[in-house]
Amino acid sequence: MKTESKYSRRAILKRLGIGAGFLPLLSTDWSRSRAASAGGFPLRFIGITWTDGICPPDFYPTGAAGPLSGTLPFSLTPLAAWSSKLLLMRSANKQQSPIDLNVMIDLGAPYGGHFTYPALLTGGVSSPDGTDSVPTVTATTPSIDQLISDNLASTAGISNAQLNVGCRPYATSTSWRSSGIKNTSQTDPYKLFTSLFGVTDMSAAQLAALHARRKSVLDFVGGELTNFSTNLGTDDKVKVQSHLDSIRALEAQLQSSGMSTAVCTPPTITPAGLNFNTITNYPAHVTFMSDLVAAAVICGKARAVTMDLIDNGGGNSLTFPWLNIPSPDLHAIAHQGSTNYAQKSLIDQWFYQQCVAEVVAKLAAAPEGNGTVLDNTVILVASDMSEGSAHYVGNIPYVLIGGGGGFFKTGRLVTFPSQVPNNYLLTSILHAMGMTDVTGVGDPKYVGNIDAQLTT
Amino acid sequence: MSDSSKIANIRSVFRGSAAGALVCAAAVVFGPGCTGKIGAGGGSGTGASSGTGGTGASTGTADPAAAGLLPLRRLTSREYLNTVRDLLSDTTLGVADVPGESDDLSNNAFPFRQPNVIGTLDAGNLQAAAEALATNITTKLSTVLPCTPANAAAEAGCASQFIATFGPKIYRRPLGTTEVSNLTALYQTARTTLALDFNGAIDVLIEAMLQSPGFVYHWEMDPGAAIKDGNVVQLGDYQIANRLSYFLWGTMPDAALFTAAAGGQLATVDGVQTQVERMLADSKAQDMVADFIDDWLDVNVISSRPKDPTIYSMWNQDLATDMENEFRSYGSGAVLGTGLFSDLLTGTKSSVNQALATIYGVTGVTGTTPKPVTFDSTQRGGLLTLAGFLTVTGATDGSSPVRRGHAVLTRLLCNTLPNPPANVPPPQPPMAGLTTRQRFLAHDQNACTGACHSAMDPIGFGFEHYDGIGQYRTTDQSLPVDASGSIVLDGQTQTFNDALGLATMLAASPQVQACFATQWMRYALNRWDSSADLASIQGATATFQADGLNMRDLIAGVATSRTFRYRAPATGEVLP
Repeated sequence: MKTESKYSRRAILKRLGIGAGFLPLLSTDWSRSRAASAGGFPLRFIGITWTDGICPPDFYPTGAAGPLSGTLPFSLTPLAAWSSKLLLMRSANKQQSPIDLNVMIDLGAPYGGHFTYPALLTGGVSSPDGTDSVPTVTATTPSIDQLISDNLASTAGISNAQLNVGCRPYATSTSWRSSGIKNTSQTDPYKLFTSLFGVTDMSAAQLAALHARRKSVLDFVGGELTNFSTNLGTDDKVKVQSHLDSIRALEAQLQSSGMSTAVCTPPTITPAGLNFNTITNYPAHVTFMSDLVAAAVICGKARAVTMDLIDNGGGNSLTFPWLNIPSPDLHAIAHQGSTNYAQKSLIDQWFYQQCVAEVVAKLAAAPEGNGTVLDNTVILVASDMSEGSAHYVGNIPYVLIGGGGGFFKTGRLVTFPSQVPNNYLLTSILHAMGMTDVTGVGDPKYVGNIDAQLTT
Repeated sequence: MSDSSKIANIRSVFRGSAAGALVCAAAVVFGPGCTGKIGAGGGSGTGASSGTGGTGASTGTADPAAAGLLPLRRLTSREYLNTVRDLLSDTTLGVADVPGESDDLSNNAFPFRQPNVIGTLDAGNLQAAAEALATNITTKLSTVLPCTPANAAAEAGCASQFIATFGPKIYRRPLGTTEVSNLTALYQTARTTLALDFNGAIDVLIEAMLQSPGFVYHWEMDPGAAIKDGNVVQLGDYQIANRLSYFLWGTMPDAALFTAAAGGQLATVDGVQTQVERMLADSKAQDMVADFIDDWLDVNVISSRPKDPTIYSMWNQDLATDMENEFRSYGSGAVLGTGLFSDLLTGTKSSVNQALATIYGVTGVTGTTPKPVTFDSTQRGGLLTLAGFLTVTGATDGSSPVRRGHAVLTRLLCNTLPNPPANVPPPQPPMAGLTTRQRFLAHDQNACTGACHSAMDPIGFGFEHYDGIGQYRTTDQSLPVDASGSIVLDGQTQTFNDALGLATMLAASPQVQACFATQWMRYALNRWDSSADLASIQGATATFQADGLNMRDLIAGVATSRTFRYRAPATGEVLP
């Protein structure tokens, strides 16, 4: 029987899942790899997501489509310094209504916002053909960070472009390797720091010996997994294949190690030893992760990143005592809808400040050619619903930041006269990442893009 | 009434689809047409299992010859750590060092932790853990080596002995010839290509075996042909040994189990029963039962639950740990002590330290070490009145009839509830002059919310004597607490005065007993139940009910059941 080469393009394309760059000795610098950007610089994607929606009046800009002018809506004010880098989207007809469909998850599916979280970056969720009132919280297709990572592996030989992190991440995820298989997020900033920026006092010879040993062990494990799966059932084979893909990813990291020439400054994440179950440590948790994500991108250690914030599975998960909101929790506040926009908007603004602006500021301060790293990055920020009290899956509050190497025409408000599935937006982002031959993302009934609206 | 007719009656109580932990929390509301069902699971009628939930159910005709699937799964983090503890005497790793699993609290979620598929981060964790363990063993290789090579010529032979003796321990079953040859080849690679000495090469073998599927996955097949029995396959002795060991101890088989497997003593119900009785008497069973109790009622997430410090100034991580420890200890003590189901749900004896005693209003306890106490039987009785459960199901700023009612409905009655509809109004926030009960009663008047809340809230009202962290109270917002409520049990609406009355009803309910048996089966199989498991669940339930509701007998009934000892072949599987 003809076997497929472990490192063939086809084999990697089949399912090369690249997780967090957790091996401190195996960092990679892609500045020496083929870049997909027009200007010769790496293109990057960062998805930042949280839950429970927004307050529409404090989120959607008023006025007509066109250049952003004046003051940003309250929730977005932390991004004011980078207005020229923003792309905001809104329904054309009713400027702030939470029931207008704009960029949406999946029109027609009768389920609430919490259950669409896996669709935010996949465009495909196990919505049961519009008839089952309670879908499982599972994506049916890979997320765009996975697709970007796969593409980099197959076209440029870049083997560890993907980084998935979380701060109290949802029990489900925005990052999915394939249908039903989510990518595991790193939630420990200290471990993430070590994996990204850890140093070693090993000599070159010792490093070479370690790599040789790891290669021998991984080769053995890969062989054992292959033998192991031979007689398994179909579903179990899929599980073992995922494991095998992960082993191959580790092997690929070994092959590409020792190339790092990037000059960058690792962030400082002190104090050490914080217990992140303690709610008062959540701001530090978010800041640490944001700084690490930014540094990973700037330092060439990741190019397809997701950052999941908040686990509200079951509610009762997150309060904001530092905003003088010790209770109720975010979920309960979101359910109060317009009767408590005051606290909800404050919380929304805090997320944009503590996480989004933290990342944007660092990328915007990192020179790259005639611009900055932000210019060659696409940051997509989203929540899983519109207004929380309605669990509404229309008007999903996507915010796009960064030009993607000049692909997107930023500094604008774009309006849509009719409903647009979020699949179109995801496809356009892949186009920005150089994957111009992609015609659709996620659910195949939503093939299309919104390049025309976002690029001209 | 037969067991099957009891189940049928129970099912008639609620009909509909879907499950649910409390996604919509304090403001969760269920619209008109709110329904649910008992015995629901994520599997299909063929016994499929889903790691993320589903809407199947163990419905249909109970077939005594049937057995469910045995989906491939890896060691959980607990199992990994326990196994290397017993295999290598190594306790240096923590839960965060090895691949974890999700305990999804959202709708349709499986009640217990399920390991996810190995991704790259997980594979990296397995690699790092294996390297750490292999490093640690270098100073005590003699504890795993069966020989000491006297000279270079004897090294290869000693390596073969090592593979022959250590291999079956770490893979928890006999090795196949290909596995032996592959390990031997790796030893040679380590000696030649990697230029390691004998000990170094053995170390590489351990490192590799710790990452291999033989160690990582539960697929401890016996050598030889599959033993078919109609449409199902009987598990081999080593599979039974492992299934028993990981179910009852959360770790690898001990020498006695390996001996029993090698001697073919686990192929019969009697053989399994003998081991179950021995194993439940071992201290390792305490952790297993505590894990079940902890996961079943989601107290394992207590440390991440925030509470309003302006209301609960004493709330901190230490108190959360104290509560979880007490909850686990109480549960394992009840199950492995008297074993009586009524003790689990209505008992008054526990052990608390000073901080927790303060929460309970118990005097005379000092220090951080738990001391035995007996609760005031007019205030507390059973697992559902312990601070751990009441805190996890409490709101950040008070009690929560919805969450508490929902937990009883889904975890003790095995009912399932659909997702809340959109556009649901929340209950009013806490305010002076209005008790929690009054706020939720007003909320229930809303046509949009009434249907499902009529099932949840009257149960949850029973816990109104306990605030958001489980402190007993007689007033709420300066008004007297009314903790009366009602519940539909076994097809009948029953009323109670408070949580103590509710707990007594729950303990005596065949519906709750059947659900408890179902939850144990789900825990043992680490998957949703399916129609193929129905006869086994009914059998375990019957054993439980016929023997004075002794929970140890229930556990034994699960372990000796058909679906625990047999399995349905998977689609596409090639049987040996």
